[in-house]
Amino acid sequence: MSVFAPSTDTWSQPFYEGLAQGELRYCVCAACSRALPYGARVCRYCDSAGIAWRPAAGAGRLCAWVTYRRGFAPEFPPPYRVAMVELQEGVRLLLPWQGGAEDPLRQGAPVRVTVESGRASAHLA
Amino acid sequence: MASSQAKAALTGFGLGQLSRNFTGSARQLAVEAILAAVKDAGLRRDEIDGLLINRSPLAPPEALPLHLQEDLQLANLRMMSGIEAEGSSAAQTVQYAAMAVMTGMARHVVCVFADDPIRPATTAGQAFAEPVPISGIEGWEKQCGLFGATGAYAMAAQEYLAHYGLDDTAFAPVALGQRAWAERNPRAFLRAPLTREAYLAAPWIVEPFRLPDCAYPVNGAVAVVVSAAARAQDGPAPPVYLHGWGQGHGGFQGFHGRGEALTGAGRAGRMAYAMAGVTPADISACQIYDAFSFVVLLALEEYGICKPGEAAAFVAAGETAPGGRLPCNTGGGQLSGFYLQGMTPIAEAMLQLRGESGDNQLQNPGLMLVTGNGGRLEYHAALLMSREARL
Repeated sequence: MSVFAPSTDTWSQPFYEGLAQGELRYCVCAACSRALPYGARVCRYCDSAGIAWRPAAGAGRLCAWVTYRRGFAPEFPPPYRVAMVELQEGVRLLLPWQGGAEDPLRQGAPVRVTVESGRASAHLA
Repeated sequence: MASSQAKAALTGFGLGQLSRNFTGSARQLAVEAILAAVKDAGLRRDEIDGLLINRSPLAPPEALPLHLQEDLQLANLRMMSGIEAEGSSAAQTVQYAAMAVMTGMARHVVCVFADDPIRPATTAGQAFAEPVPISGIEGWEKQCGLFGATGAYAMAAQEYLAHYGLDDTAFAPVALGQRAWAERNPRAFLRAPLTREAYLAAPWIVEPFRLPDCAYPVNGAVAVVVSAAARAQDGPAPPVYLHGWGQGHGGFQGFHGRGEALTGAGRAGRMAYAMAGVTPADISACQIYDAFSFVVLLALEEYGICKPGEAAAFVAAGETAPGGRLPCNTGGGQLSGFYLQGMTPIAEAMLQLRGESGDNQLQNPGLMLVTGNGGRLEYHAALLMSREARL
């Protein structure tokens, strides 16, 4: 089965639907509007159980990255990178990295997140 | 050191054959390990009244079912459960067993872990390729190409290196030190000497992890018997006393969090130290859950033994290797000894405290910190163990 087979998890559906529409989304508390980590089912600040999805600006900074030197799936021939990005909205998002596997990277570097053909990826801004 | 009376004791220890080949199912290996542990404790099967089962989170429930009770014909169980908290489960089984014998709910509880990831058609690499969820979005790791626990831990490891201004050679002393222990341990699977040059030349798996930064999976089983501290002298085996324990479970949001704890390990450690009336300075040896070399550095810091960012220099100075001031993972750990998840550090602690560590035997193992770590740094459990009934 392709690694891109759609998730059947209802909580994450709005995230994937956003990508299909070319939009990167993040979560906020429906009551207090503060950004919530991906995966939170309740607000960590006000205990409200309602969450809402909002479009993210697509800007952030690089927290961490890894370089796969060994392949695990045909869709990802090595070498390739995966990045952890903190969106400017204040939450962390895992993203495929667009750029050479040997390019020097720096923690904290500004990055852009783009969505194309339903796939999100990050690259240096 | 404040005075601490042991809360419970580990009175039996048994193995199901450890192998890189498929010699029998996890269930069969568990039976083997349990029978060995019960015999080692000088008990009869009908004296076992508690059974706590820990299976690999990657194995299906039927791989290690509650039917172990029937397999072993244990007719007198007063407590039984499967404990599932990933790599922290094994230490947790010992904790729950200790609480059961302290309250009289049970007298002799067997805790077992068994796994058989290596099959005729499955390599160790394939067995552990499944993504570890760290994104919060179901299925997203796969879509990002983040396969295996290796990738998830490598992400945290790279952030650690960058945060403290270290480079990718920072993990080498962990791998080299543990190999030095393994060289002298006939039970260890990777015993060939590992030089710094060979480490640096080893293939990357997921950068910043090279092959020797990753645990060495095996098939096998470990079982221990937990009994009341007062009964510890009854059996033939040298008793190992349990003085404190703790757990801590929190997410991992990286090193630029909101001033919150990095992981739950700090909480697990503080609880254990308080229970035993000790401080990190009283710890004389550690058996740390080390699925990846990086985890040892982070654990030394999270458990209060090193200051944040200083564990790499501590290990590089040889403090955790043979001859060091704080021997760690004295059988080679999961990196060079064998990877049976949370039971690896417990097994190494048992052997040291019973004086069965051969050429690696410490003169005085003192107070030993034993840790478990599950998920991607989310789930933590710790034990404090000693030869002494009273600290």
